[in-house]
Amino acid sequence: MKFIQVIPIFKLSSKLSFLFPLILACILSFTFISQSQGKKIQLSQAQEIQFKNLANNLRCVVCNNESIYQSDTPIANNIRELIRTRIQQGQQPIFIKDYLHKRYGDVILLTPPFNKNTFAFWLIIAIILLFLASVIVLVGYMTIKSKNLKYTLSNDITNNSSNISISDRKKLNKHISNNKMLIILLPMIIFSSVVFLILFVKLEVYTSYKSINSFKININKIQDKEHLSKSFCENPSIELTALLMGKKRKIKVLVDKCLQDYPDNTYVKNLRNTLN
Amino acid sequence: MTYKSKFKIILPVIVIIIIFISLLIFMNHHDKQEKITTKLVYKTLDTPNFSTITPIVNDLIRDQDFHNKVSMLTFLGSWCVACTVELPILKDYVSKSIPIYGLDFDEQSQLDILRWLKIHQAENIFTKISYDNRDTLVIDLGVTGAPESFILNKQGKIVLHVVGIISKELWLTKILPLVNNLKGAD
Repeated sequence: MKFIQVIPIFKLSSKLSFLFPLILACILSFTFISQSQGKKIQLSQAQEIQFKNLANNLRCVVCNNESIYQSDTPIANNIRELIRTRIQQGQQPIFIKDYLHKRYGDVILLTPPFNKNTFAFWLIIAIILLFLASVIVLVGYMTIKSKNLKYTLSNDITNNSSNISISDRKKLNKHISNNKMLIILLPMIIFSSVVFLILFVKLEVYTSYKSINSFKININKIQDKEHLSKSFCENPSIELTALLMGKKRKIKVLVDKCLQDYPDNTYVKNLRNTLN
Repeated sequence: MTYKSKFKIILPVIVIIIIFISLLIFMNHHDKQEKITTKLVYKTLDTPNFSTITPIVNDLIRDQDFHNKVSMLTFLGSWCVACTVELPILKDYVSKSIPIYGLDFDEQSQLDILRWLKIHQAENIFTKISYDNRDTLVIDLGVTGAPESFILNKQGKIVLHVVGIISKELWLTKILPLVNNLKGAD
């Protein structure tokens, strides 16, 4: 009988058996996270909080929009180590942030500051908010006004059933002109916001990433074979060789073609070596 | 159809067209941006402490190396394809006018850079090469990748920070005049 009492537990476990892999996966994922943040230097609890706050507010310089705390790149690893050692030495996080800000510029701050390079970015946010608010206010205003107008009109019509008075006509005209205003305002606001967007793109807020990612260039530009043999094999420019970063397979074919035409070119030979 | 109902149809069309045009402009701009591969940033930092690095080619790079002459400090790596692109320009132009000091980092083993130099026959370009163990110098100079190079004046202060490849054009039009200027100054 004792044996039978145990059976319901087995039954329950078989029902919930689908949970076990899930739980296992959860545990494993946690171990991965803890692995990625190599803790070589031991910090106290208060210092650990300081470190987390600082590392979460700094952007990894190599990858796009990932904090230094999360990132797995070697540079982020080393910056984390640097922050840890400096916190252990008793330096204030503000000074560490200032130190890194001086070296890497605004790119390293996850929340961009307000200055001449970033003003357009902040202005766009303000403009979008203003635009939304103005739309809401205008629509609300129009609906209330039209309701009032209908109410007064119906009152007037019941009083003088046949003719519409001059004051009503004025009201009607106002109503129509208000609608016109809305129709003119809307595209104006949209257009201005688009203009600011373009301005924002032109400013250097955005280009700070591009200096890092500038090596990825469209391969379609060198599809023409004659153009390729001249520019790539005889006078290899930066653009073409920078393609290597992105599309290695396609470049291998191109380099092989170049070697057939120009077997003595040491530069192309070197490129072939680096590809292997 | 009244004026109002006409506009109700036209308005979304106008909005969509505006968005489309702005997108087109954006994409064109994106293309143009990518052609520029160098970014010049002027910084006035003192030469940092060279105590955390190990020598690879010749002896260790020291503070004294940068005194009383105009010199260049470049960050390299055998893993860096753009560095191999830069090598012929360093060989033919840069090394003939100023000494080049190399700093290697993020390598799997320190022998990699020696092998890399042998493959490209570039042992004589650099006067010294050292290895940055913990990226201390990399972070201290605000370097994000390779190749990045610094031009230092006679006092040992950074005058120019070039992010990316030094092309022949860039060297002849922008950097060489500056170097000649610095050489003339005391």
